[in-house]
Amino acid sequence: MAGVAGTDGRLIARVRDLHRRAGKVRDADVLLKRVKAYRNVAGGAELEELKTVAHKLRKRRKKARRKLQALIDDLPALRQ
Amino acid sequence: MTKEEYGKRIVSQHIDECFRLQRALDSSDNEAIHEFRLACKRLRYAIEHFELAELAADAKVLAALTDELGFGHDCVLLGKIAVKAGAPAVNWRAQQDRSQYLKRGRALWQKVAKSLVVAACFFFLVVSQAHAAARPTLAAALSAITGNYPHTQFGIAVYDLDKHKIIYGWNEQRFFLAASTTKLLTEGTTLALLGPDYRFTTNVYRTGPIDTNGTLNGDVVLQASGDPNLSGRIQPDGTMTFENEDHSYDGSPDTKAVPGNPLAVIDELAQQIAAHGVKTVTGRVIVDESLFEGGYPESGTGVFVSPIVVNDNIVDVTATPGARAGDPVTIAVSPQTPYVTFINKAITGAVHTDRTISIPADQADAGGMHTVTITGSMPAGSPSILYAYDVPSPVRFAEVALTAALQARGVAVQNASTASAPLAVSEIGPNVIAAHVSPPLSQDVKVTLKVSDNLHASIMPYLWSPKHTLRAGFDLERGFMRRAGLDTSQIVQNDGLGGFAFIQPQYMVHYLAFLRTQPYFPTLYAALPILGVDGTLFNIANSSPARGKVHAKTGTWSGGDALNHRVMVSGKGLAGYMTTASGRHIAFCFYINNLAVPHGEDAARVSGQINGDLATATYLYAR
Repeated sequence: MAGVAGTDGRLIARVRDLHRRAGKVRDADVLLKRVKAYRNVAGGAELEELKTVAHKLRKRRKKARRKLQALIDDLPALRQ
Repeated sequence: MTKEEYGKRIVSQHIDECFRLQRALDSSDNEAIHEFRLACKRLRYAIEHFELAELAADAKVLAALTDELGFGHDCVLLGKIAVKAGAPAVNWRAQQDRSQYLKRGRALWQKVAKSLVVAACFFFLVVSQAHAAARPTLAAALSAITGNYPHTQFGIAVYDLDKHKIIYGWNEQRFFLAASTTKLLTEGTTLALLGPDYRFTTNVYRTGPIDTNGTLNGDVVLQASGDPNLSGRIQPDGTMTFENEDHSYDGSPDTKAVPGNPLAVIDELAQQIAAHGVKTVTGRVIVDESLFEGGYPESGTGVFVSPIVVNDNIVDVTATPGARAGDPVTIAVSPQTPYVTFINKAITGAVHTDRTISIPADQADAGGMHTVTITGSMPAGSPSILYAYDVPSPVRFAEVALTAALQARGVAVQNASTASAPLAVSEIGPNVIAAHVSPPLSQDVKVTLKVSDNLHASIMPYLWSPKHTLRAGFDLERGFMRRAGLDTSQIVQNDGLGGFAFIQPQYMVHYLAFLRTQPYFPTLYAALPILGVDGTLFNIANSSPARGKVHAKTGTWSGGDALNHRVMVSGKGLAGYMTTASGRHIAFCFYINNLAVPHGEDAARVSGQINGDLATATYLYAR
């Protein structure tokens, strides 16, 4: 396929990277949504725990988003 | 090959892949479950890509299935993050959700698996007619499973009951540690020699007269008959009930005692005695255990063998942790009798700590009564666990229980606190004042085989001969098997339960084929555990297309590996019957010897799943 598209294997590898890094962002979003659902029914100490977990997830998402953006920004260089 | 034929071939391969990986649903291996989910996705995409209309509905079920497993996977990730963040309550909630998703995923797989098997068989026909595409043979399917365990010995015999020949054998002429599959020999012999309608009669005699004031001047003597069910198993309709994980196999969250009064039969006997107008017994309440020589712990679960068996000679001790570390553990004891008193010093440990509850051995006092101190801890939030206190003296236990039952009905026993001296048979008078007739033996065969009850199986060889010795019993068993044309040099048996027992797989399938021709076969067949449904197979291959189609006896023998902190399963067996997906009637025997199982895994279940896989492969590929 790489030959047909006129590219080498780097593009395929980069698309896989994109898929993987986008997946990390998506994972964090899904888990944050689940934590939000838990917060609606939890009380007491569990609420505090959920805040901690949500904070950790937001950090993970931010990091994953940053890495994804870096990869996207790097794509034009691949076309040259 | 047309596009449609090609599509069916590809889809067949993906169906095979799903069935190879489906056992993950019965495990706690999150990676394996994830792999299975991906395989289901690939299958769904293949169905959609090749536009196979006959599987369109299945593709929708597969989509729902992969969604459920995906949600479960999310919960696993969240749980890991919660643990790292020091949030145990969030982890707990995520694990609970994960269990629910997995449960729904299993149900969806069961829904779709049957139709996929049919499709795979049909596609195979289409594809093989158009193109010589090779579906796996039985040999290839079985060796693909055994090949994953290069350090373990396998013995396999698959016997076609219609063609009367072994259609696949692997080490089938070698001896394998047979463990509780030996109970097939024991119970088959019991049915042949005693018959499924045999009933035990347990009589209670008086040794003196009853005067007009209701004073029995003498002893009350319960004559043990070998009936293993003087317990709460008997139901109002005369059947006997069981729990899949029997109380003799204690220490598992799945272990349960049967509901009801464990002293129901003892109470019934006491009621009959009181109904004779007895108000006082001047002598003792004695159990005569002269029927056969017991008094030793059976080699499997350590329950004491005796012709008297009350509640399987077990006192059930159920321990429940408190809500927080440091809280006391609560215990519930059943049956409660003066025979044993428990002092509870167990405490609740922190979440995720190991369970260390122990019920140590103890000494009896002069009256034969026991005091046991329970120590150790169990983690907060963990489920209740049933521990079995194996009654060291079944005779004294029964005497104390019957005495207490009499006293509860207003009958005074003057020598109640004195341990009885052995009683000569000649001392027993002819005056029966109570009797219990058991349900038919077929009911006990069901209990023994479904839960693999070691005590019940241990008793049977003593009952086969009027001499009531093991030697005389085994002489009769050997004669029975030789008359059936079986070569008993291919088996080694030393007791009823399967301690130090070795069987060649070829023997087992020929024996099973013989049993199938006997008039008592329906009783034996109905007594076998069913794959993925009940008995000792209740949690094996639950998602397999062979679930519910395999009736077979399990066997497990294992020991520790202190050096490597693991378990060595020295013997694991599965032997029984199935009708395969293609309609063939099969008797089979699978033995696994010497399988090392890593620390923390349920060795019986891990090895059981391998046998479940072998059964599934036989179900699918024995054509």
